[in-house]
Amino acid sequence: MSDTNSKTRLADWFRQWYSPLRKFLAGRSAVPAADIEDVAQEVFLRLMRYESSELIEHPQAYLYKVASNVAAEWSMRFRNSRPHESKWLVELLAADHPERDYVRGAAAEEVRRAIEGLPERSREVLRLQYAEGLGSVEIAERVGSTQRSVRRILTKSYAKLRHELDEDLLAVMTDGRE
Amino acid sequence: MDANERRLRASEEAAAWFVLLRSDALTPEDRAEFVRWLRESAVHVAEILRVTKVHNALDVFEGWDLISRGEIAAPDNVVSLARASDSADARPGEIGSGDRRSGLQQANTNLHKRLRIFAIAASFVGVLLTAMFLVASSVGQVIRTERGERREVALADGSLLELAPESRVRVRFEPYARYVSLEQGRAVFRVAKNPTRPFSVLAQGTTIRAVGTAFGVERGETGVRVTVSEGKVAVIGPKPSEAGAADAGASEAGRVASLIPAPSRDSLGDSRLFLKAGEQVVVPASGIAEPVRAVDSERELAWAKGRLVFDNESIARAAELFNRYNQVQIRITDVQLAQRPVSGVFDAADPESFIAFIQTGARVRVIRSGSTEITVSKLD
Repeated sequence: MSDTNSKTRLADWFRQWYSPLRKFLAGRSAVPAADIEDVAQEVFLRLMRYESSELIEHPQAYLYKVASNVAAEWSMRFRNSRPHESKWLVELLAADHPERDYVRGAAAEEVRRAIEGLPERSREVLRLQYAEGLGSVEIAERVGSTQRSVRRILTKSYAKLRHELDEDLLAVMTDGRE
Repeated sequence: MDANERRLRASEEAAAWFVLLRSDALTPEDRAEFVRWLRESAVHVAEILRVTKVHNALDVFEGWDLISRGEIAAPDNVVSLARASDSADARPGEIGSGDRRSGLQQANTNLHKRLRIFAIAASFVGVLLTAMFLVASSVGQVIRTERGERREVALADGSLLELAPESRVRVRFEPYARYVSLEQGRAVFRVAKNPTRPFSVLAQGTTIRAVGTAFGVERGETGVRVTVSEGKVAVIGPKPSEAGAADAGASEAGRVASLIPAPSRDSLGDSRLFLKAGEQVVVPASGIAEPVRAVDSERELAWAKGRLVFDNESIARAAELFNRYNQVQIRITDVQLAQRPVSGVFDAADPESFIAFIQTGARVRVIRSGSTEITVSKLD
């Protein structure tokens, strides 16, 4: 087995996935919660214009690139047409830096509370992934479990957090940090 | 199934897809299945975007130390965790359809094989990758110096950073870009060559981009001073507005390709100027750069080596610079003396040599109080 090959695959993985992901919804292209349905609708329609075979090569890259384009168009339109409704965004816009930090701190506190609401194992798996930067192989090793189990736990955690966390708050967390 | 149930199921599927897509265990069949799933409904698209937002929030979340931890390592827990997985694990496509077992098991065997390869590869590039993850997953690593402190730091990519006293940088490395914000003071960068991973320094709205080169960046009241001692850099002045959405109109397909090798290209504007070795420019906040000057870069960047070079600098300003490099603080109490010009090269760590120099040119009284203060005043 060639080490170079594996490295290339790893690099490919990053290319397909990492940059578009970081770009998506980070900071200025963040879209208020009310609009994510509309954005998704538009992304959906654009995805339909591609041949399936085309998308299958790099589905994540397409998804996030299309989404960040749509989001950027949306937020431009948004800025020009109507005021932000969410209290998070209002506070954020009104704020100069210390207050912005405060709002961000409050958002972080919400995230902390939501994480605390997860089962102990889930908290540990998330901590290993996000705080220690481990991949699922190492996480499985650390918690003495299988990778499937780690993936299962991650899935459940994401699904739970998605329903517990306010979307505008998530936007505040990631604002300006692309 | 009502709308709410459908939504719940969609978000669970989206979460499962998100995890699988990130796991490096993705087969071509999975990708095809993912595309099929995406194109099934706009709700699916919305849910995967939402899960992505959750991920992004966790990615920037910094309070992991505050999260309570139980007795995770206890043997009982480990066993039950492993057991729980055997009965509860599912791939995204599996939810709500149990008729694809054998194919999935096959896929899992392959998956394990490939994961072993991945693990070996990961150990080869482990150090690099860990550094990348650690830095990229936070807002960046902060390196700072106090008064009287100079630091030379090797960054994860092999670049060298020489930080002057009372300076602060924030280092953020991403897979396809390296960013350093100069938040205070000044620094010299010796950039490790990597054409696929441009190195950018950001200071007061100005961006300095290099591939492999050495240059100094100084923040100051008049603007950002950039001095190049090796190679070539691009200096991009501050823009009135960050036009991140400027390219939103064109077709996505073309840009999926172009985005990937150069994620930072969108920040390149027309206000770019190239600087080569032995050149210096000052970019004020207005963004309109002063003319490029030819300079002796070694002399201009001598501060990074702990030397202070004065060229008709006022004694007051020179003393101020010495004070940054030293615990011993010089005070010049005489206004006329403070305004007198001084030229020469000094060892920044040796303020006494500067005092001696002043004494040769003017009749002054030097009072040393304790070990940390030198007051220079007029001789009555």
